[in-house]
Amino acid sequence: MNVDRILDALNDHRVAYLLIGGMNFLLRHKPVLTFDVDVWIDDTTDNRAKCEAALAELEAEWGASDEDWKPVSQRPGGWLERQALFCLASPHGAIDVFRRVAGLADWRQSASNARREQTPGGVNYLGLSDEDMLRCQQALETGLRRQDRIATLEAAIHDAQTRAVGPSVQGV
Amino acid sequence: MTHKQEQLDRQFKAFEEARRDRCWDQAARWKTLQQTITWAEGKVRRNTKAVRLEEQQQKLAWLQRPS
Repeated sequence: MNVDRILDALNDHRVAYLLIGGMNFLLRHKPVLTFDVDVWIDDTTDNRAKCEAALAELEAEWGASDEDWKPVSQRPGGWLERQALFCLASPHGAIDVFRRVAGLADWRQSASNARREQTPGGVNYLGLSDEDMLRCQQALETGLRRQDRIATLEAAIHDAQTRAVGPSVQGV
Repeated sequence: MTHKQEQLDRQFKAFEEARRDRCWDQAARWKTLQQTITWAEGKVRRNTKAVRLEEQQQKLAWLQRPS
């Protein structure tokens, strides 16, 4: 998997996206086994077109069915309007593109709370905040929630709150 | 091994891991992580048409479920 290559393409095409899912958790907190790069895009016509161009550059393939499966570069523009999420394959790794995410109401709201980060390979990305990652986990059915991630996120949020409160307490 | 010894071993392992993570060149570590994912993916073959389509169906069904 080449995560830097995938993020680079999205950045080069100026796609408004948030890195979500296991890869965002892995980069922010600790290694977990994850097999795809999940991105939540701002669901506008212009941004979908940029995302389509980035995915074509990545030589990604997608289809709504077996028969429909083909390189996205062979699709007429606008194919990202077809459904709520897309599971693509690419030579750089599996990519999931979400137009909406359960547990989160508004892309722009989440983007304003997101963290501007850099992969250890030096590629910039905007990653979903810990609070929103926790909301995503809580939106899952109980059996599908990843308790280890929830515990890590809760601890990180608690630590951040403690640090934020610290100076004012000391100042009293 | 006594319970106390097990606890000490666990603490020592956590200490060792933390030190390794601090000292490991982050770019090299990142490369290793991605290679590990590639290796693991090769075992379970998740980046394929068949598996991607199956996952897509499951995720779409979940998104469309009545809340």
